[in-house]
Amino acid sequence: MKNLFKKSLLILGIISAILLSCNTLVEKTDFASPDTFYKSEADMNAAINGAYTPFNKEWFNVAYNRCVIDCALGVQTGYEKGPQYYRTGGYVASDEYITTFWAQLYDGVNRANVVLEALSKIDAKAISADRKKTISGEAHLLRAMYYYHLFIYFENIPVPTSPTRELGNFNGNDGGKQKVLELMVADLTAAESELPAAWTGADTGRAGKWAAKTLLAKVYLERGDWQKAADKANEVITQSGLQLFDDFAKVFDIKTKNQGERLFEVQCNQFKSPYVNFNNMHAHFTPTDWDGGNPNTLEAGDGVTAAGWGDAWIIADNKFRSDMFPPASNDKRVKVTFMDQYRSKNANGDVVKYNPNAASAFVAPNSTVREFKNAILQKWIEYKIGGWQNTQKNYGLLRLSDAYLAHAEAVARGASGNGLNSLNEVRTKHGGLPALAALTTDAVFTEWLREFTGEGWAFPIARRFGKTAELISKYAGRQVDNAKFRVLPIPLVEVQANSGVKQNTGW
Amino acid sequence: MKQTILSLLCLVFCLFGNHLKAQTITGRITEKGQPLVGVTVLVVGTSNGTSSDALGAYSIKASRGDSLQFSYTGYQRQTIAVGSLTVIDVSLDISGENLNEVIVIGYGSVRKSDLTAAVSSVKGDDIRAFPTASVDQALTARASGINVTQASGAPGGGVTVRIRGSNSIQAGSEPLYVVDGIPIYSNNDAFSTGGNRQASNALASINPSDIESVEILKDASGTAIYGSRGANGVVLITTKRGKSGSTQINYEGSNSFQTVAKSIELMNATEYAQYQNLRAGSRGQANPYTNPAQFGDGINWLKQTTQTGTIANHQLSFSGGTDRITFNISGNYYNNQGIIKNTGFERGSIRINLDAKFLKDRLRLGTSTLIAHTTTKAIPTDRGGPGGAIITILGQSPIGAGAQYNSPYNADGSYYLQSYDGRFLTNPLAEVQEIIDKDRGNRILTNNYISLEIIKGLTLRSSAGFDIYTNNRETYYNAATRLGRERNRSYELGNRNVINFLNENTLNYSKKIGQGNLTALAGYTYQTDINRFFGTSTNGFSFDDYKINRIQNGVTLLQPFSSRTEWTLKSFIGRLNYSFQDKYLLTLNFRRDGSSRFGTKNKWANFPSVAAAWRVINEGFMKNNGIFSDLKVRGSWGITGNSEIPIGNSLSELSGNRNYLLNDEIVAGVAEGRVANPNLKWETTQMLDFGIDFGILNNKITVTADWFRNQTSDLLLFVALPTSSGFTSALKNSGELTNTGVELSTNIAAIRSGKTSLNFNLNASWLQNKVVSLAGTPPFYSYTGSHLGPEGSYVAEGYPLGGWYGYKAIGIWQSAEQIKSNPSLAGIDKPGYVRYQDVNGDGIIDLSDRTYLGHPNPTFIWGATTEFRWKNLDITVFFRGSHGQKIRNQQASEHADGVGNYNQYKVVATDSWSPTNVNGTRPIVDATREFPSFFRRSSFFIENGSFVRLQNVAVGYNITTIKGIRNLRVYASGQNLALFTKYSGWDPEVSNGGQSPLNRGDDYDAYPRPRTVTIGVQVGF
Repeated sequence: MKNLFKKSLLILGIISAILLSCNTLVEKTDFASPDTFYKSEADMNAAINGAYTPFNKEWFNVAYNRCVIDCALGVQTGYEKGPQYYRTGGYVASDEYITTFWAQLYDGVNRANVVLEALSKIDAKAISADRKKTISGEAHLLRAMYYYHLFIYFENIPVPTSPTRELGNFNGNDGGKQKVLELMVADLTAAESELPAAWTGADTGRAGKWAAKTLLAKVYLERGDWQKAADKANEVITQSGLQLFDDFAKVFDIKTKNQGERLFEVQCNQFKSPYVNFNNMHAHFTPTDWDGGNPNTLEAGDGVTAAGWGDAWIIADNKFRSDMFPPASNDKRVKVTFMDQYRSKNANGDVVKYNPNAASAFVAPNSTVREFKNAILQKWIEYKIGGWQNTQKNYGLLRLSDAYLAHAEAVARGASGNGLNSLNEVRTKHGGLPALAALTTDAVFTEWLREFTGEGWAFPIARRFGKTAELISKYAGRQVDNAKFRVLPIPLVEVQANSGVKQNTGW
Repeated sequence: MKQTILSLLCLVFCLFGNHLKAQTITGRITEKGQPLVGVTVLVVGTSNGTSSDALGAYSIKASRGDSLQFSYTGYQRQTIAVGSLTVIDVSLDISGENLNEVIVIGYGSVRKSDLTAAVSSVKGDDIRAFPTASVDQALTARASGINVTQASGAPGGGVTVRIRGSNSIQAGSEPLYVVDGIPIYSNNDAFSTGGNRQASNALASINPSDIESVEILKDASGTAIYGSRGANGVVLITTKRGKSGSTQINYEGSNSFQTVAKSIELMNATEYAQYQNLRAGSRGQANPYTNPAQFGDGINWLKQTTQTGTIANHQLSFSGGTDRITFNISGNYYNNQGIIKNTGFERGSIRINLDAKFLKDRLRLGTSTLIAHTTTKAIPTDRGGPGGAIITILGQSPIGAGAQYNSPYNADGSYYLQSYDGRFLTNPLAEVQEIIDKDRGNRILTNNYISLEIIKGLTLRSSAGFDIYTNNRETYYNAATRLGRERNRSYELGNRNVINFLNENTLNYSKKIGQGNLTALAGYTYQTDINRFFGTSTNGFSFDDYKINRIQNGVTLLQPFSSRTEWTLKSFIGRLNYSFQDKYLLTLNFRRDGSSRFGTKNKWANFPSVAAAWRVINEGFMKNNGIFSDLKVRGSWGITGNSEIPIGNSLSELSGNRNYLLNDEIVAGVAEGRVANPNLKWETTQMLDFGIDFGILNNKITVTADWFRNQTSDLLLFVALPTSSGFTSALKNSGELTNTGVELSTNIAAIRSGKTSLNFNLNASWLQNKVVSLAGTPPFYSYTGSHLGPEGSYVAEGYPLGGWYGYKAIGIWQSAEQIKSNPSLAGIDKPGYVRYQDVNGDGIIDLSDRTYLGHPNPTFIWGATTEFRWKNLDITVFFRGSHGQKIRNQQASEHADGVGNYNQYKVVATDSWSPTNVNGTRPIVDATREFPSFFRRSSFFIENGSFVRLQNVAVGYNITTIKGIRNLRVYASGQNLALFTKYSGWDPEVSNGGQSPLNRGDDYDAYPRPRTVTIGVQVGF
């Protein structure tokens, strides 16, 4: 009996002693810490690759948000809540599209900042000097590209240049407009010397030197440095050896990804990176009743390629369309930009055709009507892909047309150079339009809008030309103050959470 | 399954079922001349025992030197020496017994009379007649201060529980469950296997029939001993243990039938065709259906997909023991086939509770062990978004196949596929009965103790417990289902594996010091948890049968997913109870917690509480007071914590899987996903409680009332960061929240005679919740960008938690002139559209006209039970109510929007505005009408969610004349028999947000609620 008592006591004592002494309260996580990373070339490659993805990281990605914001001008609209809402001009600082657009782009800025800081700290023996240089070039170009997006929609923005590592001491936007312009020039000047002319093989899709120079030309346009803009754009036009495609469709074709005039694109392929690096823009633009077949050949589709809800989600305004592409002009880009005929599931597979004067937006089920009113934008649309998600089209960020039109614009605004030639190059090669005899800013403005119709660049183009209020009046029927509406409000959450940030005037 | 359990139980019974021999004593036990059934008769100091039969008679073998003890719950115990007697008749009196009732508290138990804390107690017997899958569900309205909501009506579906309200905004707010000493935080998501549905109830593996009692600890005096996990209240679950005496065998069995309690009326095929014609007309299109009447009623997909559900519940238990070893061993089988086809929940479980004593009772050993296997059959419900089963059922065109348009099948027997919303082809019946989505879970929950009395009054107790949980999900979409077609058949596997280990070591000391009684507790506990998940899926199979498909055999192997979380909690606990002259009671609690979850600068936290009570009734001046038979006032104050935050959130994270594409091939990418917060710590809740307990008329009426205030500061909040930082939010301790309330529970024993008794029990709770401060964080929505359009809960200072913010709908526009002369949506509004209030009075309607639209928190909840017993008949009627909450009927915002290309509620056909029905209360049917930005975000869909429910009715009859049977009761019961509410959806008790304190009261894609009728039997041998 006594023995058992002693034994029990001993065992209890031992158990307690073991448990009291063991284990600390350190977290055992299933994720990595940044503190132990960025030590090798492979680490740096992973970091720079990750810095490309914020352009396409959410369902409402950067390109989609740009398309929604374009609806504010009335040049396009849709049945989805964002397009519909922007068309009415109801957006304010708390708007969800503005909020996510801003956040996605600054995520990109921070990732580029992380790479640049890590490069400055990495052991020289851990990475080849060549790769260190090109990664630096990619990071500089990416940071400039994210900042360029922010600048052309918001202008006076905070400009962090180092990674966020603490919950405080955030950057304000005092003097942000000047700071960001200077930073973009510095970044792109660095990038153009650091980046190779072209990436090949397994690296195809990284941003190269000509992309950096084209963006720099556009940044100079924003600064009003007309001559620098013209010279930089001309450098691309004359030295890159690149030419515009004769066939405008190749600008969007899967087969010609990253080739020729396509300078910098967000890479998409559902089959290689399902639901992550894929192009959901297709889903936002397809008419629901489309059978999925190629509208040019009118072969029967698979019935499952279209997504959409009732009407197409985003469509062009008919007046805008006829202003940009008068039927008589026979612009070659119309066929690529718009889907004007297709086989409709609602019409038992019959072909239905675009008619701006049709009674209905689309053909109703069981209807005998064979025409529809919606101006369907199709640059992102792919044909007969066996499911709306099976997309492989990239979406573009920069192409040679940017350099041509930047050159034309700079000259039209006062720089010296043959700007008319550059404008006509785009008009004739892509549009098959007759060459113009004189260069005017209006002609360049219209060409920008026409070339990039349905790609989500109208809002910043209108801002640069001071024509925001004019377009809103013309296509959305609202009379607004250009000084206010030329830019977006800074997201409310930024203003509320960051005492150093002041809202844009009027918002 | 069933057989295995039964044979195991029989084996155990044979081992323990021994009997002793001596002379036979007989007698009759009565109360005021009426026989008392089921009184325990025990030979003192032995395990020899029996109980009285229906006539109060007993028979037991005992020797001359023995004493017999007669005990019966609620009556004063008597002990009589046998001597030369062979007939011993006994009359028992009702005791002021409540006072000696023992209440389980954290790390111990106290006499109810010595309690200083606010504790509600629910007995296992009260919930037995109403089969439920889990104990939390069974607690619904059984006690004051606890609010139970079913997050999903699906069999075994998630339940969410709030004790004295939500004390947090974004951290978990479920109470801590302590099952036979093992603390479990019932985060359903942490136990889930993923999949296209809401997580199942993690507590459903614990069989409610095994429960002896449930104690709900509500104030700091009860919960501070649980430290950083006590802030949301603690639910102590104690399972049945054996008592020495003859072996008792109990069988309980019931069968239930379930039907849809309240249906939603949808348009029939004719109305649907008319609706589609109106839509086409609004677009300038010709009528798609020239003769709507030809379709008649068409097909009702709801009727096609629902069925009469069933519950079979069987429980066999053996209990008894010797003076050294006691046991309670039970087996349970529960099978619920849901009211929607192809859904169900099945559980088989065995419980083994053993206790042994050695060394003249100084050394004790024991175990509480549960082994359970559960199977859940689910379909995609309660998760929102297109493709949800309920959404498809409600929205699919009612124009079916066949000559009568009422068949779900084509002539060749295949499913009739129609386009849903012009988006995809589907058949609701196939979506319900063809999907295979099964969880198979195993759980071993075991706690084992050894305790040793070192010296008189000082006991050392050490326990080791495990909660081992595995759950495997298997999901298969065959070619008859939408996803199966889209993905060319799809097979998914998910696996959850949780191992939780607990060790507790406590020292208990009790001593009488003069007129005072001192008990003290000190201890150290250690708990650790590893939770692993793995999921993978493959598309593209050649064979359309999941049983012959292996995951690696498909064409498209999708990216697998895995995760692991670990936490460790080390704690020191202490408690001091002192009572003086049985009048003055003092309790001090203390816990020091060290948690791995928190920031490097804040690993350890202290949680003290102090409580005092005054038993006024024991004062001299209360003697012969003529009114009170009991009177106690008490008060408590303390600090408790909440640490239910996502693990790892104090650290910065480098996220892998930010992969990119180059040259059309995937390349590895990483990015920083979180900013470190080394200051991260627990939420701190200060709890203040004042209570009074009294009894009058010899305790015929007893009342417990409490006032409380819980103040939570350092709220764990995903604070919005300036997004120019590259991050949208970070978890910070920021802000303050209060819950203030009053609770009342009363028991009235109106009639208490031998033959007849009538008892009323009422509990009621009032609660006010308010977000006091967000400490500079801007107001925010819990989510934005939902598929329907509306945002989640709006969190802002000065408002109750979980409210909605949007436009105020103030009627229907009647004319173009009216639109022109009032603030309206320019270019959008037309006659028949909904009019919104210009809240800021600037003459236009825009985002700045959004305003607070109400909240989903009940401000008053109550439960009222009437128990009536007459001779062998017993009747229980249980009503409950919940008032003051609003529900956002998101289902109606989709399927009664009068816009969409899907079927609609019947009210759209009857109540919509039109030029000829200008009194219509719903907006005009118009396919081009605005709906996502204003209509669905408006008060139009926020409804009064108050209700009164006839929750339970049970009628039982005791058959007492069968030889060899100790007691036999047959009963019939009903659950959810009647619902009184203005709410227009299935049921106002709904919570799509699962267990989150936010997004409650949203009704979308909800599994309909069942009405249950049960017939059952309870037999004791």
